[in-house]
Amino acid sequence: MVETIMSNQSIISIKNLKKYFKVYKKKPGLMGSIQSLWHREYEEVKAVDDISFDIFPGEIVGFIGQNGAGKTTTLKMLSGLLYPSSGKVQVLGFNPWDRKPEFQKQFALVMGQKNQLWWDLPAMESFLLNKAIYEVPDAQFKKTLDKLMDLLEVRDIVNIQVRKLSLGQRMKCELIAALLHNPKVLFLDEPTIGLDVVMQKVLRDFIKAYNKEFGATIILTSHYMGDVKELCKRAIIIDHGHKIFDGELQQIIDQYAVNKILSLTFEEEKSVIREQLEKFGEVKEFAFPKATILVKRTEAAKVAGKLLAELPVADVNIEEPSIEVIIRQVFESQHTK
Amino acid sequence: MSKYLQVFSITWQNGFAYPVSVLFWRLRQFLATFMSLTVWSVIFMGQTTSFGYSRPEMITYVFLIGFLQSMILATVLGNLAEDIYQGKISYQMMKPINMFGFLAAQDFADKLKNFGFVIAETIILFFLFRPQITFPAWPVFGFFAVSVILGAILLFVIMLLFGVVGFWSNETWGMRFLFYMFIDFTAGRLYPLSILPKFLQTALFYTPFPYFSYVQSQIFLNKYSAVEITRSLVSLVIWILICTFVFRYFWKKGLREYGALGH
Repeated sequence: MVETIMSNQSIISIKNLKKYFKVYKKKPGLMGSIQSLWHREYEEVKAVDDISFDIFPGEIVGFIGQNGAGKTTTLKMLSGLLYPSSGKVQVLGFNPWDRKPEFQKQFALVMGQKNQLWWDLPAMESFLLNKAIYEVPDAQFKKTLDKLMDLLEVRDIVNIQVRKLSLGQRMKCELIAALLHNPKVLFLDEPTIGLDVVMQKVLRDFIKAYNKEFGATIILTSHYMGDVKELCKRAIIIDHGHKIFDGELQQIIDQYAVNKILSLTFEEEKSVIREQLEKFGEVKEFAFPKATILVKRTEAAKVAGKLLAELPVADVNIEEPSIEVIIRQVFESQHTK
Repeated sequence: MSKYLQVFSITWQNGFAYPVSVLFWRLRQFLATFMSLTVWSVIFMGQTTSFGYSRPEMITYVFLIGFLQSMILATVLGNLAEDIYQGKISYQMMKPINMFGFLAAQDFADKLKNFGFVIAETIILFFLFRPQITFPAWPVFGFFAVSVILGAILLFVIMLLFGVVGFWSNETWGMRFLFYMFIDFTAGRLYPLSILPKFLQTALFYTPFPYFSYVQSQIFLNKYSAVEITRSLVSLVIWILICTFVFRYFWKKGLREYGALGH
């Protein structure tokens, strides 16, 4: 039995959480394969290494990290799927590992790369199955389903076989299946992965609306800075299983995303040389007619205006640095401390 | 209870998503029984008994085995180890439903679907071979029904045992292949076990294999005394308990190893 570790009012609390995996390390080549028949070497991978944090009701927290940082492993421990190597976890007052139905009825995990919908049947059948499994009363089911179908605009596709839906349509139906029982805690693991920008926006708006309407607590992992920026006030960054930042997202952006990226395309019939660009900012790439310049984020709009006025620019795009760049900067700063 | 009924319903719907595959799979089962009936009909040409069976008894035996194969040995749990290894059971594990109840409802739905087909196939075969099927007395039929249910439960637990390997490895295909090959020779699928040498029969009855069809067929054909029926049913229960105990031990251990792979 997990002792009570939740600090005041926190809905999710983890303390010194660790998850180590033993993985088989194969030697290269044919000889390595033959050798592995009688002797195998294993390596311990520290997927999550001593992480602690508290999350409070109604928060949307961005859980950020590169591939293999330990984000999904943490979410799976919070969902009771993985047994922690050590440490304490509490969600809604339960130890997730006990997998008590009272707990399971109050949370949901949506994995962007995995389906819970029955592939060969219309999504509606999976909804009905979840209704029965979560024991959702008829009236509540109808009300919630109506609302979710309207919010996500899927009324006309829920009776079509899942395998015939597009990735975006499927993801919307996955979300509905996960939310039919009105979970108080929602873990979203890369919900927008592989979706086009329009669909990403639709899902973001939906997540925001769901959080507002139901007061749900949400942990979101994503590779897209846009998701995190738009939805989360607070971010937790983890790298190689360690927590390296926990605080206001704006604080990270201000502190580490000091530059914005200007992606330029010039008119092909005119000529521009690299030296002409250097006065505007740090030239990262130049291969006429395309160029990429780093400029201070506070001056990005002004510099873009100047570029348009002074050079034959056909197209300009102002972008945030990728999440990987920001994380690397946060991570490097931790190491140099 | 309604959640398991819903699992039952969705499994049926899913089973009919590919009707042509279902049809061809049943055709394969039908042809296997048809061939077996043909072979034994040829063997009985010009003789009234063979291996201690009369022609009607043997034809009834083959009919019965075809039915029992579909009821006891057909299962949807063949890929459980792979599903566990690849983390496909994660969503079920997070839901407020008993995992084994979920799997049992799926398996039961599949067996019931088979039952419908088997009845239709049996009617066709009946008109082709015109066997003299003699039904046992009601009490014996009752024991037969219980033995079929227990046989199906035993196979279910053994499939769970194969599945549990998936927590550590996905290399269960070979094991399952060997298991089903063994069944062909030791569960009475190809021939009644009574034609085997005595010592081999004795040895086989120390394994669970004869309980997957042969024992049930002998009860139906009135070949077993009351003592033998009791002994068979008790043995079935003991095998179920042993396998359940081993399964539960490894399932608990395996859950701690579960990697919930996927990404």
